[in-house]
Formats: sequence, C-alpha cells, structure tokens
Amino acid sequence: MIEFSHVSFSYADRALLKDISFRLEDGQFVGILGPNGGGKSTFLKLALGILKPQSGTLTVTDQVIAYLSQTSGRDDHDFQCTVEELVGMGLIGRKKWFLNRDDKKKVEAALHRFDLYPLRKKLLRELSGGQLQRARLAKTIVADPTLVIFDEPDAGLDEENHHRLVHLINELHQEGKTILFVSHHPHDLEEADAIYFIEDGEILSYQHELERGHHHVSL
Amino acid sequence: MFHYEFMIIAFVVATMLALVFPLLGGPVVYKKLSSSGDALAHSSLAGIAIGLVSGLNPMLISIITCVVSFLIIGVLRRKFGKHAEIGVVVVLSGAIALSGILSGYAKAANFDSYLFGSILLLSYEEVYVVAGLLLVTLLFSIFFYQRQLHCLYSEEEAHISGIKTGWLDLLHSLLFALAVAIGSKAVGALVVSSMVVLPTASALLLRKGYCFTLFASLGYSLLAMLGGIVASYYLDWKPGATSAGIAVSALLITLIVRALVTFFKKKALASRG
Repeated sequence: MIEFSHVSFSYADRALLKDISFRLEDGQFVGILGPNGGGKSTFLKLALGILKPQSGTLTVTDQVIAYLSQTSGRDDHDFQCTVEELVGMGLIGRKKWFLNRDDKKKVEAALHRFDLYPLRKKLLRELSGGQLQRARLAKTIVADPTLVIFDEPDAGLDEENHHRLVHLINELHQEGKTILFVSHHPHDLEEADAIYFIEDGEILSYQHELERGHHHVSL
Repeated sequence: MFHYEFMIIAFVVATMLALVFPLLGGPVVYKKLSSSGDALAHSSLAGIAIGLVSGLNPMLISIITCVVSFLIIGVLRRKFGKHAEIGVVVVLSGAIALSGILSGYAKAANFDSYLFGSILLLSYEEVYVVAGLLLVTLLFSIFFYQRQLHCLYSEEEAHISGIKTGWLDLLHSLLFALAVAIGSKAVGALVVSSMVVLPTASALLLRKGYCFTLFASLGYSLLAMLGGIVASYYLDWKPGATSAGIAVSALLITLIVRALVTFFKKKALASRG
C-alpha cells in the first residue's frame, strides 16, 4: 500500500507537487496520465523512495517493490551482458548477494514466461526493442514483487509489442500484484481500477478531468 | 630466468597486478570512464612529486591524491551528467600541471622510476602491499559481483532494489585509486592507465556476457603483464612499456580476428542462401 498525505515537493523554488493526497491499496491497479513536466516523475520518485517528501507524510508498506522505466533514451543496447544475466539482476537486492540454484530456476521460469528462453545467451545489443523491453519486464518481476511501478514502459515500442506489454501488465494485476502504471495512452489503462491525472503538480481523478474537457491533453 | 630472485618477485607481483587491474578497471570501462585511469595515474604522479619534494612517503601521498581525484571525478560526473568525461579531463589537467611543476623540484632519478616503474627492483615489503591489495580486490570482486553488475547496468534500479549504490561506488573508487597508486610503483604511472582499460576493452570485443568478459579480461591482462617481464629479460626492454605494447597488440589482433570471422560468416551465409 502507498499513501501520500498532503505531500508537497519543490525544487529551486518551483513547486513540482502541491499538497498531494493519494492512496494505492494492495492488489489495486491505478493508472496515471498527464503531460510531460506535470509532476509525474517527481510523484514516482517519491513513491520509489528516491526522493523524500518536504512536507506531508508518505507511507509505503510493500516489502518488494519493482520498477520498470521507459527504454527510449536508455543505453541498454550498449551494456554488454546476456539476457540471462540481466534477468538475474532482478533478484539481487537488500538481502540477496548471490544467486543460488533456486534463484537460477526463478530466472529460467521468468525467461520461459516471456518467451526469452531461446535468447537467454544473447547480448542485449542483439535484441529488438520489444524483446529488450520483455527482458527488462522479466528482470522486474523475477523477484515476485508485491508492487510494480511502470513508468511509460511502452514508449518507443511498435504497436504489436506495445499491446503485448500492456497484456502482460494486465496479467500481473490478475495475479494479485499491485500496479501503478504511468502511461501516455488512456486505452492502456482500460483494466485499471482508477485513473488519475497529474498536471501542474496537482493530482485529480481522470473522470473529473474528462468533465473539465482536458482529456485532449493525453488523448 | 627464474635463477634470479628479482625475476621471481617480478613474476609474482606482475601476476597479482594482472588480476587486480581488470577486476577494478573493468567496472570503470563499463561506466564509460575509461580515461579516468589516465587521470588517476597522473594524480598518482602528482602525489609522488608532492611526496618527493616534501620528504613525506611518496606512495602514501600518491594514494591520497588518487583517492581525492577519483572522488572529485565522481562529483564532477554527477554535475556534468551526460558529459561525464569533462570531469576526467579537469582532474587530468590539474594533475599534469601539479606533477609537471613539482617534478622540477624532485630528484629526476626518483621521479623517473615512478614514470616507467621498477618491477625488477621491488622490495619484499612492496610485494606484501601488492598481495594485500590483491586479497582485498578479490574479496570485493567476489562479494559485490552481483551488486556491482546491477549498479553498472542501472544505478537507479539497483538503488530501488535496496543496494547502497553510493557506498558501493565509494568502496570501488577507493580500491581503484589504491590499485593505480600501488601499481604505479611497479609498472609505472603511464602504463597503469593502459593496463586498467585495455584488457577489458579487448575482452569486450569478444562480444560475450559480463561474466565471460571479466574472465577474458584477466587472460588478456596476464598475457600482457607476464609477457612484459619475459620480454624485459630476453630483449632488455622496459617491462611496463612492453606490457602496454602487448596489451595494445592483443586488442588489435582481437579486432582483426573478429572482423575476419564476421566476414567469413557472412560469406558462408551468402553462399548458402
């Protein structure tokens, strides 16, 4: 569960988030829309614990949080490691230092699930954009997180891979995981329990935004 | 060749340093900060010049200047973002200026021994220092292997998964600076900068995963370092400079072999199709 209570955050005298209150329950699928520069990234960085709120309180109760960012702008293709090594990284964290036999089985299962097993020895540079994002998704969920945060993971993907990714995210929700999905496309969030709109540092229910006629911003 | 004690010591130290350099230099190459080895080598020279001029222990001062320089590179890297290499050039320029000016006041013979190294003239004390460095490097590389890999791939994602990325970076920086400072005495400051980068660069050309690349870089490094000692014995060449020469040749040969393999593979595919 994530709860923002009257959280504000500013940087260099600019208010990036203004008195935000938001709650994400366990097992819920919440979508976030909004224009670039509206405060979405700051919101996610707070939820992930990268930034600390300057006022208000932020409670995160999940033990295992995973995060998948967008691929565009990243230099994954330059990083020389195999698909198998990439997925294995997802298991390394606070308490885990080495991969044991069980962990290797988990990696194998994740590779099978995302149709990556035949590609496991390939380097990241040898993958297509869609394959790379599936490998990154496998890394994200291999540790069986309870909460998964997606930051426009579909950016830069072609239509087929885009649909496949959204389908996989919906599947994760059906398995009981809590999902926070930031997207540019409202139709990606059809299965979301709630959709919010972040603009000018404020968070509003998407329904409310539609009524105000602002939906063209994201559609 | 092994009748002489100094040759045995040289072989042992060269083997130990050959393992240390790519283990600590590899991550620097992955971070795209290859030239920081060069900057640190010059910082170590500046430290040695300060030590020689002031009468303090040159090795100790060079370790301190290396650590401080690497920390400055780290801070500048964050400030310059995508233009991280600017930070390296700033430190490199500062170190060249400092060592150039101060070396004028130091005894030339002493200073030259640090420029080109003196692996054939090492004391037992220095062998123990290198052995200690190897032990710490091995422990670090084994225990932090997975963490470092995750950090190199994405510092942000590693941080989110609970890895203390700042501490890991600092620990690696300290060890890397130590390796450059200690290595400078043995193989020479100017050669260290190539030995921390070239073995990993050659291994990367083999186009395999992270683990394979790491082991391959150890192979390249051993070949260059031990080759340098053998050449110094039979040809009377400077061991450090010869090691750098072998490392560059190995990289070029790898590049050519890889180009040939790719060419013939393509040809075979075309004739089949």
